[in-house]
Formats: sequence, C-alpha cells, structure tokens
Amino acid sequence: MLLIIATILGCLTNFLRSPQLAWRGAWAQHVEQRAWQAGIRLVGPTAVRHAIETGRPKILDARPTIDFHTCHIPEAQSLPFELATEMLTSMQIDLGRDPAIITYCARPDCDEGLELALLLRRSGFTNVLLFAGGLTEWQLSGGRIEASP
Amino acid sequence: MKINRVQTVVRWSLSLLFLVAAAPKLAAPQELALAIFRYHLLPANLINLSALVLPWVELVAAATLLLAAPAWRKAAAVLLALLLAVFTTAIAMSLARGLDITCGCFTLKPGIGQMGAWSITRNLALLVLTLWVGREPRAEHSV
Repeated sequence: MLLIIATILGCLTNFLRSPQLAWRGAWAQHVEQRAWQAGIRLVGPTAVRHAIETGRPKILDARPTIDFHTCHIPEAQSLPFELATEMLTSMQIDLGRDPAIITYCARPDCDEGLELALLLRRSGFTNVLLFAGGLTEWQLSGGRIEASP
Repeated sequence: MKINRVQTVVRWSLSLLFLVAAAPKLAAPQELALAIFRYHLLPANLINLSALVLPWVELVAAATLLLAAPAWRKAAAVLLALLLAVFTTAIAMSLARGLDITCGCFTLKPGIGQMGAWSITRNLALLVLTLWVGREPRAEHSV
C-alpha cells in the first residue's frame, strides 16, 4: 500500500512539475553509457582534485583552444579533440610513455572528452580515464578554474 | 518501559533522517536520475521512473514511521529496511567494480558524498536500527 501511494505521488508530482522529467530518459545514448560500454573508466571531481595535487594522472582538456584559454581546470593541458590526431603525430604535446590521463570537456552532455579518450586509447595509451561531468560538474563541486593568457 | 522510550526516540530520529534524505531527491529528480544512472545497475528505461518514485517511497515510509499507527509503522520499517538493503548492495557492487561515483544518499551535489566502506557501515547500522524499531514491543502501542 505504501509503495502504491508513493508511486502515485511520484507520477502525479511529475505531471504537475515544469519541466517534467521524461518518463524514459535517453540514458542509453548518454556519453557515460557509451564510455562504460567502451570500457573507459569514469572518474569524478575527487579524482580530478587528486590529479591536480599529485600531478598524476595528467589532465587533458578536449575543448577548442579558445575555450581552454577562457577557463580550464588547474594543471590541465589543452588537447582539442579536433586537433588531437595532428598534435599527437607531430609531437606537439608530450604525454610521456604510458601516463595515466584524465580527459574532460565542457558539460556532461558533450562528447569531445570521450572521443579524445577513445582516440588516445587507439593511439596506445592504456590508462585513459574520463571525467564526464566536465567543467560544469567541476565548478558545481566547488572546483576552482584558471584562465590562460 | 525505558527501552520503549529509547525505541521511540530512535524511530523519530530515523524518520527525520529519511525525510532529510528524501528532500534533495524530491527537489532535483534530474540529478537523482543521473546519480542512479551512474551506478550502471538499472536498465535505461527504468532510471527516470525510479528517480520519480524512489524519493516518495522514502518520504511516505518515513512519515508513516513517524506518525502512523503501530501496524503501519511496522510496514514502513520493513519498507525502509528493504530500501537500505538495496542501496547497500548497490554501493557494495559499485565499490567492487571500482566506480568513482558519489552515493546520492543525502545530497546530489557533485563531488559530495563520495562512497566508500563508510557508506556500507552506515547503511548497515541504519538497517539494524530500522529493523529494531519495526519490532516494537506491545507496551509501545499504548504510547
């Protein structure tokens, strides 16, 4: 009986809420689901904080360079996804031999971070992690951001 | 008689705890859906429905445990104990799989409430207390 009451109240309040929560979310297409299926390990803001403090894993910002210069996670390096192949082959960015890497982009619904993680893995980096919440979740968790000159 | 009083205080405390836990989930179902999704345990189609119903289960059961007649209180305690068992199993599975996610138990703010062995210990303690208050002695019924 308690379960029935709770279910009715949950559904009723969603009818009255604006905007409503979709009854069936598009979670199967979510970036994190794709990362999960691809075997890319997901990390949260705590792991990013640890990476900033210890310098490991390296943090890579997959957004366009102009966005990186506006603001980014401290200690992050810029490796825009659309330039990543070129930058990796021309050695414009040195990632070391087999470093652990965390990639991120702007928001939980952007996919450059995931695409960069997949590209790095295809390029032979075996320990690539994705901070899927991106800059939005970083700031919501109280993380500070930096701007580059 | 003394144990009845202790049990009543524990029951009130547990009720308030679950009411407090339900509040942020009721206020932000989208964030709760994301928290549930990050456990990677439920089918995609059930995530939003769970996010809509789960906080109300907590709220209704907690309010019943706080205010209702003894028979209803027992049902509420069983329901809350079942919820705790499910939550604890989900946390244990996530820890075993090495997931770096927050619990989503008392807050949905990113980066707060990182799960760990402590989350399991806390939930098991709450589970024991919930089952205990569900077994009210007869004398309590007259309170």
